[in-house]
Amino acid sequence: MNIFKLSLKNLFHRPLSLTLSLLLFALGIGLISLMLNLNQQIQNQIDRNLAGIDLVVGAKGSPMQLVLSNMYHIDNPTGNISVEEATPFMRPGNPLIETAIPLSLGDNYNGFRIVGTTAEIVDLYQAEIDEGKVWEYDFEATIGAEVAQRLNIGLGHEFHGVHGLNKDDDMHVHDYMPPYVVKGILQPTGTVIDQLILVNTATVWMVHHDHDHSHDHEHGEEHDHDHSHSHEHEQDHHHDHDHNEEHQHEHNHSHDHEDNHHGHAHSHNDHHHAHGDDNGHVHGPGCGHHHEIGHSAEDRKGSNSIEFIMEHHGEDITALLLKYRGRNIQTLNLARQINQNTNMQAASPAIEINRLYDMMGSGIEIIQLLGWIIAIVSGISIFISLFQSLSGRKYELALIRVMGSSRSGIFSLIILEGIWIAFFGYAIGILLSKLAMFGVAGIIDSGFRYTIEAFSFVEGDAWLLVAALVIGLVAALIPAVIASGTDISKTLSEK
Amino acid sequence: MLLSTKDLSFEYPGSSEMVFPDLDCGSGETHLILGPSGSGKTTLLHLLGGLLKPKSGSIKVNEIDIGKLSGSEADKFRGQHIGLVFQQPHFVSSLNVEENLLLAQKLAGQPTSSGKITELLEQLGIAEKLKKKTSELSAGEKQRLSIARALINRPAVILADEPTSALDDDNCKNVINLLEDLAAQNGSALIVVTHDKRLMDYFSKKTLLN
Repeated sequence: MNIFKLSLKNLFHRPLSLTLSLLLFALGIGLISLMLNLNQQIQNQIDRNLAGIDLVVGAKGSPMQLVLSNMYHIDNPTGNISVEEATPFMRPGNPLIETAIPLSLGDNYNGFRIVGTTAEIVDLYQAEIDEGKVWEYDFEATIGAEVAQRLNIGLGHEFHGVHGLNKDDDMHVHDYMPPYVVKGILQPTGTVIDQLILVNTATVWMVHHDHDHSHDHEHGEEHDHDHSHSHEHEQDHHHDHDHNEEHQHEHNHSHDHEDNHHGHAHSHNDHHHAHGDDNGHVHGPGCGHHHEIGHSAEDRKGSNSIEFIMEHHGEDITALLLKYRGRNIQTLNLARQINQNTNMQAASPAIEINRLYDMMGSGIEIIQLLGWIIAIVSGISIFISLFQSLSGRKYELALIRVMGSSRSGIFSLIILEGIWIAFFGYAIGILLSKLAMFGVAGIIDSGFRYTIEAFSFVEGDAWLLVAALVIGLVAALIPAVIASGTDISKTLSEK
Repeated sequence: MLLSTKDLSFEYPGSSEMVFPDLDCGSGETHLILGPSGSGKTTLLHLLGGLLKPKSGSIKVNEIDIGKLSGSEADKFRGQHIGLVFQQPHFVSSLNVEENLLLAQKLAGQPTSSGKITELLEQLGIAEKLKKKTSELSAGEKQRLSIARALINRPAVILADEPTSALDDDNCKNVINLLEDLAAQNGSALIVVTHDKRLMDYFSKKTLLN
């Protein structure tokens, strides 16, 4: 039994005031730590996924939405852009642009987004193949590590996409299409690619067109629809579609590019009979114009290239991720030019993310401030509880002196009691913070498929311990000075 | 002599000087200091215990003048060489009987020994209270525990301030006998200050304050 143990015993001897002080302290520390960790984790995620992307080009709308939907795969896309309009930025010879990665969004599998894109995206996020290979042919999928692990699927797994970008968006399953087959799995990168299902753009087009079509069907169009349709049927569907008012937009679109498109369709028709392997299928009829996308094995392999996409002027993609060759005055003007002179929108991730930090930052600051206020109030509660306990303990503190303890022993005793409360309050607060992080991680995971480390620590947690101990020390200082300065002879003479 | 004072005087701020008669107390000796309230009994006891510093004169315990020790030296010396018993027995309320005595050992810089504690509590007849909270003890048991605390480190001098005035006749007799027996057994000098006339017959040396 020494001063150290005695201080602990004294603390637990006053359970009610201890509980109040601990709760307040834990709440304050917990809030601050939660904000520190959340901020850190979110910034880590955001920074990791910048991936050197200089510009995102997509449909007009909110620039932040464009960045969030195409770089972070949260929020819905702003819309689609036509390949024709995007072509100048995809062309390999573009003097400003080193890499252009087209993205086509629209479907998900168990909440993981299916992204039609080109193989360059794997390099963009510096991902490596863990098993299998990068997707090549239609309906081949290469999945991120998180997708493989969370869904517990491996090579050869077959699945159907679901329309929409979130798990419960729409129960419409594309099960009349051939299934996707997992052909490759990526190693974990810690970036957003971990949670993506990557396929070629042609596949997304096929699924999408078919989806549009079947939608007509669901809405009560009076024609029979055979999904294992032959080429001959397509003309009919095409016709129906043209007169379908629900698809007015696409209808117009089809007229814009009719000529162009037909040229392509014919050239591909030459290969029409070449496919018939297990992946072989006739894709669904298009929305207003039909596409023959990749007819032979050779061609379908080619359907993964940017050139293939550029050939399909009439199609849409969701966005382009651009990486500049270098930064100069022309690249500085590029975004403005796109915004002013095209129907597309260009957003700079750096600018949008800074705006996001600013918005998020002020929220986090307010909650942190609240945390500090609670921590300081809890410091005052420690002070009051120690101060009040002194009058009741006067005689026993004098006895401790009689038994041989010096004034500094009494001083240490009271200081220790304050520090213990701070320490335990800190420990409980950190525990609460980690539990809350665990809850938040669950919400973020189910909502956005991002994985947040709930039980990691940031440097701020260590500083918070220092701050907590200082608050405990300061709160105990005055009671400690009073207790150690008490005249024991006088105290013991009081009857 | 285990304890001797010479020309001892003390003055509270703003009041007149108190002068105390010289005292001598050897090993195993008992000394009763009697006097009415306000005669300075408690002041004298606090001087002897090093809780107060004298205005003049010397207080030697084991040949060391405790009036000349610094604050923390006096605290340490008291813990090791002087056992104090008060009228109102108080304990560290967050600790049980045993822990209170362990603390007394620790603060005096002695090795902590549960064996010694049990042995002493057996002599005092409260061994079965070892793990009890001090608040659960009766008045007589409390006073016996405070004797145990005063004696646990085998001090040279035992100072008792009105140890019996709150007790009934039976407990009074019991407690004073225990104090005398244990002091004799330890070879300690026992000094009791009191106005309790029941104690007159127990002591060899008596000093009257007025």
